Amino acid sequence: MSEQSSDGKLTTLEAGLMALAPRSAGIDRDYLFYHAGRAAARGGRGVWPYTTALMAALAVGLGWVAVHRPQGAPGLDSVEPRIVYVPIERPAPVPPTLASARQGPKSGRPDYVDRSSAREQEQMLRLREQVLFMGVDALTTANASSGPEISAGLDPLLGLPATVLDEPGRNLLKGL
Amino acid sequence: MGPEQLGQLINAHAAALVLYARQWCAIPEDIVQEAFLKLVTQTTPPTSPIPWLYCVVRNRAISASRTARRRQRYEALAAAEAQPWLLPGEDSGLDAETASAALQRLPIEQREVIVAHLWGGLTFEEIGQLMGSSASTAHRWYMAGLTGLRERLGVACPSNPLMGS
Repeated sequence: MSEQSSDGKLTTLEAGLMALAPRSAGIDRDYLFYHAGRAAARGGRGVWPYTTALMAALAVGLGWVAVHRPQGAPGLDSVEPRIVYVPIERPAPVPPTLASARQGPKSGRPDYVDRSSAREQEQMLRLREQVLFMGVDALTTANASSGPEISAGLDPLLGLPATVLDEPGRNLLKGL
Repeated sequence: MGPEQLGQLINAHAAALVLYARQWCAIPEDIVQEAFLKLVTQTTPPTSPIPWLYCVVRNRAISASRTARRRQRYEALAAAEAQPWLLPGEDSGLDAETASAALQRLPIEQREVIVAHLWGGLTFEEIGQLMGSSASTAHRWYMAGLTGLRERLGVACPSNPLMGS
């Protein structure tokens, strides 16, 4: 392609020009090597300066937040567990009404339950709670101390009115 | 890049790079030094450092010439033209000052191709990439520049040996 490649050798003009040396007295090798070393050292630092700057900024920010935090704000060490008591209303036992007594067979409850008085129901509920809380053994101990009164209370526990079980029936149940 | 390789590059190509940068600006030494410093700081060194250096020098020299043109245009050009670009050689039959003057009168693209090819050792493909043109265009500028130099220096055309001195 070129003149020198077409005939395989440099022309006289090219050879004469190449024999002339470019003037370059201004290149300072010491200056160049010194600054090249400094530039190479600066270039090898990587991301550490940026990471350090980021962490320093983060530390300053967190310190500023810690200093300027409101006084009323609770700290982590002052937080205590708080117990909240929630009142639960128990539904009152509904006394049997005349209408419910008439609708007894339709409501699915036996007749003798509807016929029991409100006092017996209250006593039955109290005994049921006692059994649920303290167990049947406590009821047996209580029976030993006061037999007739507690034995009369067994009937409501079984869902029966007090008049259903007679004395032999109660004794049979106690034997069980 | 190690210091040995850097020293070899400076010894072999610094003068040609200065001559190349001198086509545009009056501070070619600074431009070449900055190019070498940029080469050292490259995390991944270029595969062809010499064309890379010429490219960096070219861009920076053109940028510096624009800045100097705005600031001290006449002083810089006068100072640059006061000193010859070439020094006398041992086996050269040409006068250095005459050759420098003839080279300076060439159009910039012909002058650039001649400097990059003769003193820089770049191929026409590399020069074409450097100048943003094709290799054939770079070769055409090179031949036109040689013709212009030949006319100014009075050197005979090699195709007609009878006219040679």
